Amino acid sequence: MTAVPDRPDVTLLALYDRALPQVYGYLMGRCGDRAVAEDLTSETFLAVAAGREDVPLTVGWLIGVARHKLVDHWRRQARQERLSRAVEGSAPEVHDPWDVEFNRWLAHEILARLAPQHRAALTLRYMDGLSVPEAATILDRSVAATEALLVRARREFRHVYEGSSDA
Amino acid sequence: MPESRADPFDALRAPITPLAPDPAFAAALRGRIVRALPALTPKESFMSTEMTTRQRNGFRHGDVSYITLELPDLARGRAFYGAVLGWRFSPGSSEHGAQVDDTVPMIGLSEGRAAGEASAHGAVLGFRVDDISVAVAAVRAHGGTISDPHREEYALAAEGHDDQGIPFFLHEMPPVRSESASADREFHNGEIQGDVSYLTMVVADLAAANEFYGGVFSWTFNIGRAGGAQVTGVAPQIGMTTRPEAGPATPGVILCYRVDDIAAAVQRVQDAGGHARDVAQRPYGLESLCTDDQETPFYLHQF
Repeated sequence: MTAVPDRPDVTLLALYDRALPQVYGYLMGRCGDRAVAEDLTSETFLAVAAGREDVPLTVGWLIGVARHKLVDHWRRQARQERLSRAVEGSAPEVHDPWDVEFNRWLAHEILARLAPQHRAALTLRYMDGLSVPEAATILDRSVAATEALLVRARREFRHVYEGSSDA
Repeated sequence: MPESRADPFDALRAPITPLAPDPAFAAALRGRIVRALPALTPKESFMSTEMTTRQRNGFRHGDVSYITLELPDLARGRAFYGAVLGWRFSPGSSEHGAQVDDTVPMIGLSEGRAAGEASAHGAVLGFRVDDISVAVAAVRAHGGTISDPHREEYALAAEGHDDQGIPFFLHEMPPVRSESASADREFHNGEIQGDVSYLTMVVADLAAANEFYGGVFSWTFNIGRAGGAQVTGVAPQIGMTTRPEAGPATPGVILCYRVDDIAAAVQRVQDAGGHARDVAQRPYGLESLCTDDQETPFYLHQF
């Protein structure tokens, strides 16, 4: 009845207790919804459990998987909200410097009100601190398209933020 | 890219704050992960139908799925039970174990414990459960201790002790359906020579055992004469007592075996170096209380 050591399944289960609060905390901090965070946490661990055996089983790797699951979730949400067409315009965008210091708490609140793909872009780029090419890879877009998306996302954010500040 | 410029959006940066989810969610997800992990090659012997078409791991939640008989000396155990009950053996999972062919339920002999641990002597029961995560939670809720579920070659398994310190283990197996209802009844007391005919559990506290095993396995107890109870809802049939006829009155399990001719079997016990009391007529059949040549108590039954 003795478990065999050095098996990948043993490793994932050994990592589980330590990784679970990290993965769940990451997702909860970005989606803010317990049910969604639980679903995405499950998707993350189950994907790793069913996946290839030669991946590096670390908390960092699991967070990376969770990030993909979060983006997938927002992608589904965007489809459901039928917002894709509205934000996929191809008009050229310009970078718009904006001199303001955010109220952090308000900023995170506002993030939750944005269109899902804008929320995804700003979360990856700013909350997670990824570079634009890294965010582009996860969003499955070109770097140029990701930069354009970020510009639109920042503009929507600014619009909502200023509306909130005025209110 | 304007990465070096101060950007108000940098204020959004949020390191991960670890957060423990609901414990019930965490436990359920662990169970799902265990089930999702790639199944290993099933161990041929455990669910094999090569030797038998008989269902050897019980039928329902709470049935005995496997019995490990811990003995000080494996070779002597093989010789004794082979001679007395006609058991044949296949290799076990290690050189310290042997698998008994064809008994119901399945039995494995095991030679004590790993080096460094106190050697064990006696039977340890394994029970099948429908959902091991639920069962593990129930064991803990009823005061028992148990490992987290893990995947063994044959099933998801967990090992623990009840709230009185009796060791046991769990296997997750889907419920057996179809024609098994009638077979189920037949197997309560064994079918052929060498099968387990009955199990006597020696407990310190009958009411506590009722709570624990009723809560975890849904067994029901018919409390009989003082200090004893008949358990219903489990195969093989189990009786509980606080005052065993044989062996020390320490919590544990005494096995009973079915034989075709009890007088001949008693002779084989004696020839093999064991002891057997006179055969007694009981309401259910003929019975002899024996010990093997390593002082392990057991009963023989002829029905």
